[in-house]
Amino acid sequence: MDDQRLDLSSLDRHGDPVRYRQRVSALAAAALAPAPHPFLHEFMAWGRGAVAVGAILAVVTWLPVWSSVGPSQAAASGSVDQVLQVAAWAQAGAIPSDADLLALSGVPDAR
Amino acid sequence: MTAEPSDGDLVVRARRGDASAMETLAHRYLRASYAVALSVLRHPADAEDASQEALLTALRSLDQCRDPARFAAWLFQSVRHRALKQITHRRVRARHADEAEHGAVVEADAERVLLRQRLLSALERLTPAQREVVLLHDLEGWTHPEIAVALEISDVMSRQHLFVARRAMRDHLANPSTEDAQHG
Repeated sequence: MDDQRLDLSSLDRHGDPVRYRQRVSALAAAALAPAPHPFLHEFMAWGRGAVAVGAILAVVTWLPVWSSVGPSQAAASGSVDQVLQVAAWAQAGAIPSDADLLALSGVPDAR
Repeated sequence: MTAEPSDGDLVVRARRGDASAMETLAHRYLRASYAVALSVLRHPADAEDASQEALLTALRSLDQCRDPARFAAWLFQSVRHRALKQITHRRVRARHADEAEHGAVVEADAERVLLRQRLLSALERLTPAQREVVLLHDLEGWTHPEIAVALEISDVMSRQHLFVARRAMRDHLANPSTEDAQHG
């Protein structure tokens, strides 16, 4: 029987024991590191698509409404101003006067 | 006999999150995984990548190892699969390039590079089983009983593969063909 070992050392990629040990440690650490749960991963991937589709649907649905609104746009922006004003009072702890409230509700020259 | 823990024990402990068991498994099988990947890919850098990826995947999915005592056979099957997939996806790099880009030591010894090419060429003449046996035995220093268990062949078959493989490789190295002259 042929007992003479072939010298295959030139094929060796792990000749340096220190590097080998480091590689082994890194592999073991990576194996123990928590990987994202497959279900969660799938769900998140699916969720991103759903959000994108939802956004497109919302835009498509609201586009005709937006274009036909016209005059009420001003009212819409006015309601935003009202909300901001009330929020400002609440934040400052101020109690609005009757005149302020009337002005806010759109009564002209209430003050 | 040494008191080294068996693969079965290590797998069971590693499944429970035992870091030292995980590290022992990685230490025991990283080199051997490389040998198995090299027998398929016949390209050291690619084999190194494939073996690390396969070993990491195996260690992360130890729950899928039905028989912990047969961890080596299960792992090697995964390594072969990964290596074959790498070939299929044509990710094998050019045979004569690449050492520097993967952080490998740049070999100034041209003779060593030439010898490696001739060894790889000689390996191509062998069957997959012969390649695995000769690499595990002569490169990694495994014994025939160890090889027999991991490759799920008999001890006698392991010896037979090694005998035939060595003879074929020596013949090839002694009489390099014109094909090798082109490679070299």
